[in-house]
Amino acid sequence: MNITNVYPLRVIVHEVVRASQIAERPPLLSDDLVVLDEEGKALVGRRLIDTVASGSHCVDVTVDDGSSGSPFDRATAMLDADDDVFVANSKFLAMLLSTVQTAGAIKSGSAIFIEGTCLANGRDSRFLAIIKADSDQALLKRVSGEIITLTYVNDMVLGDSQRLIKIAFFIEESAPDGASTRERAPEDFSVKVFDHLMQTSGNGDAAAYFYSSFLKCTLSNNAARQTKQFFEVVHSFIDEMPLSPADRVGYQGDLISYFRQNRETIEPRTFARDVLPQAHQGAFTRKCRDEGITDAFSKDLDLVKSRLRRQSLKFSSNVTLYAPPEVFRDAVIITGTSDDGWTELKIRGSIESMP
Amino acid sequence: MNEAEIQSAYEARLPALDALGRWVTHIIIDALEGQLGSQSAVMKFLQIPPKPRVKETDSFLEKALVRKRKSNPLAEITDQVGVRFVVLLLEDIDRVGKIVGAGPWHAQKDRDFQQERLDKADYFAYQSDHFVIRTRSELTFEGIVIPSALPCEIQIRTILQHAYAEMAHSSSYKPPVRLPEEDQKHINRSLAKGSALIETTDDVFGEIKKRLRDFNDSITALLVRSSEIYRAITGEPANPNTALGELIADAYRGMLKDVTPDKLNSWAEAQPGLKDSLLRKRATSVFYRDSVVILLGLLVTENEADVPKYWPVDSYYLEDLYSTLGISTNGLF
Repeated sequence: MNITNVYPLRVIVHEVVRASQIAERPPLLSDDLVVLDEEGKALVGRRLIDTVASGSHCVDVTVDDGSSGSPFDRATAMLDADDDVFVANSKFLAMLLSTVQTAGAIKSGSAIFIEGTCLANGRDSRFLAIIKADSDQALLKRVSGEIITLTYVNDMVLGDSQRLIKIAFFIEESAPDGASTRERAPEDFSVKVFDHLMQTSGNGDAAAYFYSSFLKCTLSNNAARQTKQFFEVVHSFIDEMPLSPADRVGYQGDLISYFRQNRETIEPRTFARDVLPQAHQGAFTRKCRDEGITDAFSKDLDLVKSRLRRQSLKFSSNVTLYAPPEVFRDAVIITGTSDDGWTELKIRGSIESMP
Repeated sequence: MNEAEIQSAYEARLPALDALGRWVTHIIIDALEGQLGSQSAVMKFLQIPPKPRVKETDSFLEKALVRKRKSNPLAEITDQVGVRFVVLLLEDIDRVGKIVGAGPWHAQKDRDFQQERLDKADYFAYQSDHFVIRTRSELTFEGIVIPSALPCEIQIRTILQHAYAEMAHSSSYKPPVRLPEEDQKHINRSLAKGSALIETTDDVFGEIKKRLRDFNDSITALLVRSSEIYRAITGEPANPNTALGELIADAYRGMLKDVTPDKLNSWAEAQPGLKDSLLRKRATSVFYRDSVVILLGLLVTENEADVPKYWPVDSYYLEDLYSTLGISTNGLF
């Protein structure tokens, strides 16, 4: 989704802690909206863009529970709420976030609620963002005359590192008709989630608590289709790259390996950087955009698993060679193509059987 | 007139000839400076600093009385003073030639090598444009009186033609010694080959120059179109042709060859949020008042992974532009 012109309107921040800490040290829940200056707003807008816009690792999720009083309901109601209800709902959600922070390496931090406007695919939209921002340590530089001092700061939020941010982004796709008190339906919104744990780790629980336990969402039901479409786009891109047959086979193998890796999301730009030769990365990103793939998606191998099981090489003479991808890489070498219609291969091992 | 009378008349006009040569040179260089913008540009344009040269008395007498006997040598011999302009390209010859043709004197083209090339299509030899100019009336330059109708020869050639002329001068044009006929034939043949090669190389240089100019023109066209688009979107004027614009265009030369002005228009039309962003940001940032943001915006959209690699200034501005365009900077900076 193309998201631009992000302008925060109302912002509030609360503390969040681990569930086990709530009793001994209740998190501070603020009653007041935060006043941000223009530079602060610009920074928040930039962090939102970096985390949810084209080229980010943010993925679509589907709302499982949109009933009255659900996190979805509380969050989306904030768009039309007066300040009191805005504050109350944000406090409720911040507390809920603390209570689900039970497992894994979870730090205390802040829950930042931002209501604002943006252009989503060119359409004026409203959004509500919930950011869980871990506090970071840094040194604050101060220049006074000829002297530079560095002061330790242990509570910095929204720095450059995406590792310190989880975000849920509710973008209003269709505005409420008439009375603003009406409950909002999940279909009215596009919901996106970013959590760095989803890119790198296969630990479902750690990654899932934010979008699942907290927000009552599941990974998008489009995921299998998106995964298949991306696989096919890459496959045909590698087919069209000006490469020797041996290199082409190598890259197709890399594609399969990448999909089989233990990661929950795939992002086209990162994929290009990790797998494709540098000279072709730009062209690949353009091709993805032409095919409508600009965002990350959660990996769902349902529709491609048969293609990941083995790598194949089909010849014009109807001969096809199959092998598991990890074997293919080491055991099949294309030594050259000749003009006489024959291809020379070397295959490790001796002929074992002819079943 | 006898030899002694001719000699004393020629020697009497030496200061005037010297002044004429300097006056002519001064006027031509002045005009070039007007066209090229600065004295240093003129010095770069001229491959060899032009130095007017007055014919030595004996050389004049030898030509006037022995080699090419004239009835009125003081009026008829046109190269009593001469100055040579050596340039890089054939097209530069035209530039100087036009200045000479339009100067404050009577000008006549004595040799036109382009014409000679056509007249003697299968002949390769000395090539150069020669003009003879004559003062229209008496004038004073740097305190010296120059009489009316005093001639000065102006040669204009490329540096390659100059190299040929220098070589040919010592081997055939004015040979100091006469070679055996067989040897001279070989030399003549080699000179013709050299001249043909030089003509070819001059043409090739011209093509190179044209290619470079076409590319520069295309970049200028892109910057101009960017300004127009900027104004159309925002209703506000952009800073055009800035040093920043040139710096950025220069950094992305490789990518710009695929960009056309029309592509810029279609790109801008597909950016619904651009007007609002530009109006908001131009108030506080000179970067967003520069029309190059339009061109750069297209480059970012088309080459989001590669643009940061060649960015020539502080990346803060580029990162901000990514946000403006809704492209995550994640992993790129």
